[in-house]
Amino acid sequence: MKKERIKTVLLCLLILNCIQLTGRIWLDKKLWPAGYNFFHYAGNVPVIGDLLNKFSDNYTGLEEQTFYEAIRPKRIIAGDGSGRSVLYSNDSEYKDIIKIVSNIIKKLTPDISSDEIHNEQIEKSLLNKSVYLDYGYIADFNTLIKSFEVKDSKDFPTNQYAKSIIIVPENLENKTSICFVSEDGETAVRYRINTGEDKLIKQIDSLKSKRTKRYAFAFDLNLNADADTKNAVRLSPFIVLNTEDKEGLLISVSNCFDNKKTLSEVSDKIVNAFGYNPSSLRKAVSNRGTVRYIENNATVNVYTNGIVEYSATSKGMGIKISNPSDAESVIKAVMSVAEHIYRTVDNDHNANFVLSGDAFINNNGKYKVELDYFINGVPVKFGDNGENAVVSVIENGFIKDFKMHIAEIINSDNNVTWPSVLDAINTYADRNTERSADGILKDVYECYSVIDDKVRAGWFLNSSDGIMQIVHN
Amino acid sequence: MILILLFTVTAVSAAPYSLSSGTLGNTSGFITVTNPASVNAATVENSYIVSGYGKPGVTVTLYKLSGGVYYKTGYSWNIGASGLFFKQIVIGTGKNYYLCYAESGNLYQIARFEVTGLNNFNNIRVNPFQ
Repeated sequence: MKKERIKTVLLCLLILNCIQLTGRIWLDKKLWPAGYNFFHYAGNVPVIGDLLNKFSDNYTGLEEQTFYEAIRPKRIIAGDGSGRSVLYSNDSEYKDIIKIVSNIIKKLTPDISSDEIHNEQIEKSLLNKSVYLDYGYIADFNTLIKSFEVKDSKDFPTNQYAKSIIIVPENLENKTSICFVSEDGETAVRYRINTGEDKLIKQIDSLKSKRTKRYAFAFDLNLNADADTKNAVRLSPFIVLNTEDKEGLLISVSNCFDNKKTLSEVSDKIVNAFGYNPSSLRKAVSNRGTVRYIENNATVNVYTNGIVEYSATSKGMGIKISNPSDAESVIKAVMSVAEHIYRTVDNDHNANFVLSGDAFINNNGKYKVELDYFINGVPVKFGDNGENAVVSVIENGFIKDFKMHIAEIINSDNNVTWPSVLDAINTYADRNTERSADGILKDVYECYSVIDDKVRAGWFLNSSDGIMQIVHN
Repeated sequence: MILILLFTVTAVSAAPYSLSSGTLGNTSGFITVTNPASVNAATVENSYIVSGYGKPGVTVTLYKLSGGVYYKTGYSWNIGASGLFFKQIVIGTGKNYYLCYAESGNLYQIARFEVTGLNNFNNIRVNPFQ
């Protein structure tokens, strides 16, 4: 009898609980504000996340070598005041210099004393045989050093940033200077290590003897911003100017989604890259073929033109990064998602990303990571304003926004000649007659320009007053 | 018909084939040569980059001194909207005297400079930071 009474009470309590839960759901009150995709959020707990990753295809397959190549210098400018050579990553001499510089950089440690030098001294150092490593992005010293496959942490201060490194062998004093140059080229932090470097000088001399094209920095020609150029376009001192046109292979860029059926099937695999099980998301396909996934705290859109967008809609939500205060972890996390998406759509080729963008600076826990496709030593830019292949915003340890152009990029059989850099700067000036008198062109480099599936050889120009443009032939 | 032809000739004024060594311009402010930074320069290379800035639309023709007369070389360029110019020229060993003839319409400016080709001085090094 007593047993029967207990059963009755329990049953009544369960029924009452069901009724009140039903009432709460009908009144549109969330029981779990964070959402009901429990396995996704459990994945944000480190131990559980690691365990779940082992059983899903979301386990990071990013190889260390892929990361190192993504953060390498875009170009190397070697020479002295009488002339310079520019090496791209697909040149064999580029790899030779990287190898020599790696041995130098590995001797650099934070306890070596440093001093700050300014623009005149920086420019003077480059008048001697030297190597200028043009990264094309800004990062802290540790990240730049890691591009030489330095595995052990160097612990340089993380609040110091640079956009390029200058290596100057000083054989007369048996030293080598390593200068981390700021974005504007006005200052550099210089370390001097106690070793002469004959190998580097020999390599620079070898390049000089083989040189067929001559390059110069803007300051070599006194065309840098400090000069009294009156109404002329103002150039950052380390803009590279060439007097002969660059030639190379043209590439072909194609949309990976050749029909709507393919898109719908592939989209389900793409959302896996974001850590979701597509069957647990609300999915809708628009008339235009755009596939949209909605989860309580995020949306994923996959467009027919190959663009994927992820956006976490709630604060404190997104794709968790294991060590968000470390630049390497953040870059790897974004690269891992991008590589995963790319592999899902195109299994035959690597994406071959490089780090790009204006800044990778910790701004109160907010970062922006930008990646470009990179082929033949030249980045690929999308649209008239030179959009990156991947743009991601990280906040408070989570990837909050992620946008990617998915495209298959291969070399074609056709050659192409880039327009001259002077023509590109003239076109920029022509288009921007109302530009600020204080504006300085801080980035001018070759790119492949993709606009509406048409590929052209072009130049990417970026000025200090926020004008970013592509100029192509 | 004759008036039209005359107008065409005066509107498109070509740089002359040669200029005397004492030629002076009839205007200023068209160009400023920034490289070389001074009237005299030297290089160990067999080429040199002439650079500067100037007024957009101005045409610059390079002349070289030979036998006391400046003769037109094959180097000529128009200054574009950026106001910048830079051109690589081949130079010989020894002193090379040049003249930039910058013209627009009937006005022209003269800028002279000299580049010495030093082919035997490839190994000069100085302390880079002093």
